Amino acid sequence: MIDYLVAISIIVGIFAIFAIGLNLEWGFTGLINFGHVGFLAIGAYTTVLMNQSGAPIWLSMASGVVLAAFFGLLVGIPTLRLREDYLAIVTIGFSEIVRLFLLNEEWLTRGPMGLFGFDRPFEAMIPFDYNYFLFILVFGSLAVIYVLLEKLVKSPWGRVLKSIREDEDVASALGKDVFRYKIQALMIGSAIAGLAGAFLAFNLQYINPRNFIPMETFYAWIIVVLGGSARNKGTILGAIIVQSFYTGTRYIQDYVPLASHQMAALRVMVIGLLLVLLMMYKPQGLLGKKEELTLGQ
Amino acid sequence: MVQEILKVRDVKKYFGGVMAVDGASFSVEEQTIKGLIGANGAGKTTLFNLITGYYKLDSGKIFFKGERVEQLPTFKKARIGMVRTFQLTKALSRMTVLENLLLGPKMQSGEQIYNIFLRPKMVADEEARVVEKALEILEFFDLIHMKDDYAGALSGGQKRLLEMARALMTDPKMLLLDEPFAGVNPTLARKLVRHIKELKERGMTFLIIEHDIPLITEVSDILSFMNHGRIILEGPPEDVKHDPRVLDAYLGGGA
Repeated sequence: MIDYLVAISIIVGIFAIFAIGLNLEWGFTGLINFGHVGFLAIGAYTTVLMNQSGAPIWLSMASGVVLAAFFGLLVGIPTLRLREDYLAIVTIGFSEIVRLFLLNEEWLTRGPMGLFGFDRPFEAMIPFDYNYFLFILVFGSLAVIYVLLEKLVKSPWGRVLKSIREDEDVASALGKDVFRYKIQALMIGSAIAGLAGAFLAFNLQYINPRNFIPMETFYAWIIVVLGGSARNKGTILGAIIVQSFYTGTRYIQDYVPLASHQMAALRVMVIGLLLVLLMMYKPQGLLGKKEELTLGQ
Repeated sequence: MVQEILKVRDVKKYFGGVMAVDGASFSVEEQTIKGLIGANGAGKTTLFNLITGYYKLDSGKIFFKGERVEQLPTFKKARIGMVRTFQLTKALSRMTVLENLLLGPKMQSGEQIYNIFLRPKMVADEEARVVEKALEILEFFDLIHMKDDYAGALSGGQKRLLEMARALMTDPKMLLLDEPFAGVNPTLARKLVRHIKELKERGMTFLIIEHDIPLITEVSDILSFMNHGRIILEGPPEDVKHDPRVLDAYLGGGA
């Protein structure tokens, strides 16, 4: 039972990290990134490929994070000068390009066969079940990221991000280099997604392009919106709710008279229904501030 | 000696085939208040957008403190001291009134990520000074009791005051105000007029678009009248406002 809870918690933690990066981009800066999963994939594949080619696992993870941030920069440069909707289109395209690259460049990624057989941090040194260590690692990282992000969003830097979210014309009228701040937010959000990718690889011990379909991005969006945009605590709560529901229902499969594909469809329906109810009764999200929604421009 | 802080030369802007600003030229001398009047659609706000860099000009030149600036992006113009407010007020709704003001000061150390982690003391000290200044300005604008309210909850007139207060936080050399008195109650408007004049005495320059003729006459040193995308008349406010072309534009009769 404990093992089962730890296994679910690890997934919750990974998704909380993944989504909290998106919350910086969307919740605080107002960037519509529909390709967040692309950065998760870059983090996961870079970590694994670097390690398989002989790099120590910590260095491999760091490369995954840095490369994800670098791709955030590459995607951001041509698009962040444009209005939000263009970013949405470009990012969703970007994440599909990443996935199709991973699927087709078999010389590098083994395509649909995926990658397995790689180190995990301290694996040889852990005398107990590795999942317990992974649990500590994931939640330790989440805690550090949470503290750093809270410090950032409450600083003058975070204030500029919020002003860009509210009205970027005002930010530039006050001398703020809007483009630069958007790039920074996108790079940090992407780096965080890259780290989540490394943890995903450690948890699955096998990665494959199917782990990185666009739907994963929208789970992160569901988590952020459910918890309340621009509330990092809300994002963590959202991750707990969505992922425990998702993973939990997988385990009750044996007790319900539904085939697994029916069960999968039912899960999506329930999540959808949950979102509809949320939008009707608590549109600001679980931990969002109600006053913020009632404000007209 | 009188210096021209802003010089606009033969600026043109088309939207599709429509000429919005048709070769406007004028100058604003340092430490003066210039009023800009004209009928709706005369091109006043477009001219503001061109000067502050929100629109790109089709032709013409703009000098600020002697330097060509028409190619500079808005935020760089703000950094060298040219700050504007908006005709349709832009309060940052989901930020508090105080936060709106705190955003104003330029180049704050806490706006750089590395300072937040490496020089927390410097950031905190600066923030304390900025807060103190913001509270003073809020006090003046009668907004102090609302400092922790969301800016989106303010009335139209209050949002206008908030915008001007926020612009003042940047310590501008020159303020471009787009209808600063619209929706502001008469008592407060008088107070604003006095304050603008006081700021001028302390060295600031103003360019103000306004439809309230008595107020703009009172506040301006020089009044410019814009019609069909050009500045066609400039002079002491009393003269300009009695010019037949101005009366025509404001009292109907198709100029």
